Amino acid sequence: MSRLRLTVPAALVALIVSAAGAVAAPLVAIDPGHGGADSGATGTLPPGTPTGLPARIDPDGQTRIYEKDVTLDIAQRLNAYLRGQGFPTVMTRTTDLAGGDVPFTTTGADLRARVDIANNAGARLFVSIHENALSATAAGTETYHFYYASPAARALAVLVHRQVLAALGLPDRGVKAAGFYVLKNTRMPAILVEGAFLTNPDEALLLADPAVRQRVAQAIGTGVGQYVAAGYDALYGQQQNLKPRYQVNAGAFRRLADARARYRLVRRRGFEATIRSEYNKANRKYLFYVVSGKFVYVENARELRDRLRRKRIKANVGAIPTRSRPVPAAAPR
Amino acid sequence: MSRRLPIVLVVAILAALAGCGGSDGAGSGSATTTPPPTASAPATTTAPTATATAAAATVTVYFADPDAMKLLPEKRSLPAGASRLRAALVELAKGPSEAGHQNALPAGTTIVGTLVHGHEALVNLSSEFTSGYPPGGAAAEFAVLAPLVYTATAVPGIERVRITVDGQTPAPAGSQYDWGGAFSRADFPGAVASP
Repeated sequence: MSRLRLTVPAALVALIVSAAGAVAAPLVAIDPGHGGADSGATGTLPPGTPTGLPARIDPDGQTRIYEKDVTLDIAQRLNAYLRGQGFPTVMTRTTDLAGGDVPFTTTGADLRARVDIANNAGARLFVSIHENALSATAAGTETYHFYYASPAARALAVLVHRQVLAALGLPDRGVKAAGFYVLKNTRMPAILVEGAFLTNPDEALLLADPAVRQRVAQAIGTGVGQYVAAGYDALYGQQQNLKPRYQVNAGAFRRLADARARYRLVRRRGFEATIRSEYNKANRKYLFYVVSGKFVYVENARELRDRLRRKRIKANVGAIPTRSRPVPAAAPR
Repeated sequence: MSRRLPIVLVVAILAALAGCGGSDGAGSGSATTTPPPTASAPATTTAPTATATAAAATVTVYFADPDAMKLLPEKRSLPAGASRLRAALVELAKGPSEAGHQNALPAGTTIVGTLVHGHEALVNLSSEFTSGYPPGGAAAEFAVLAPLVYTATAVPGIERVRITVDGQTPAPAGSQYDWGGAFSRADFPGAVASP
């Protein structure tokens, strides 16, 4: 596991805390992974194992344990713990349903609902609770943040991971980065905790114990408390990545003159437009995009695309080229 | 406007790729098919990079280690005249040849078609990919998805990978990723084991 290096000087933390006086506890979004028709990972328990969770017996009579039940139980315990510590909280689901407490439809809709709940509530940090899966021998705890998020997300991941490791006593798989939807699209520092492997019989049995789940919840809560006490929330809350990743192209052209003609048409019909160029090294040619908007969320991009099409302007949604450059919309006189 | 890039035709090609799912030889265990050329697909539409087609004798294919902590490379020989992207993915579908490397794609998954546009690869897979996708667990997802993304982006010129299943955007239940967009190595940073 990477060692945590506090990037906030102690003096600065003291200054922040003293200047703010009694700092209000930040709103914490708690995200119990999976739910409803999406059971998540599953594990097998010895027959009759008491779990304190909904009974799950498969058609072969085997006692099962579902990730969605474990995550909801830990999330509810974390919710109670944090509220007891004075933290306001918001949960992305509170029952055996998908995000937003609605029936599961698709993965995309489910994940989007979870992100929207946290973003719309103005949460200042986001904790997604999961359990892992792979094989009967894979073991351990791992915690994720998003590579391009603020340094606070990594700090939160390290602090929480350290506590969960101590609570479970399982092998350390480390603090890692991944482009999970909830980590990329939340506006606040966000982490995803994979406590233990449900596919590993020993670890599944561990998670079946309500006392262990309570320990995990309190461990996450302790990590959150350490994060706030270290001053990260004061510096980074609500500064998560909001970098646009989708652009609406109202045409792409080999010739700049054609791009400029389309630019004028798009503007005449009431839309914003810019021209950007991308050089393709392979064929040594430029491609000129008429870009009508850039968005964090693909749904918003699709809405603009459809509005353009209703005005008889060809448009599509694409990823923002990594090395595009702006081009003047008018030819030099 | 006569030289305008016909982006709408890309969509037509995607539909054509989806349409060739029925002839991919999945039942015979074949790991590959070549999408038929389409009359509506001028060369400028797909814009394959020169480096993305037969240019080297080997391709690099990645598989996860037994604990899904890192990816491990395997070199495979490239059939004469084959597309590097397609050949690499076909090798990925065949599975690992070295001990300690995990199978990546769910059993029965075939490469229905591939397409390169700029720096982005479109990989169209058969329905076994979705039906065999793990229902949960970051490690299980890593073992399937990271090898696919790293193998495709090991082909020079390809930076991103968009995955479709039978021509449609897949939505594997339990996944934590956004399947509506393209994947890149930034979704799995540092996944390759140090030599």
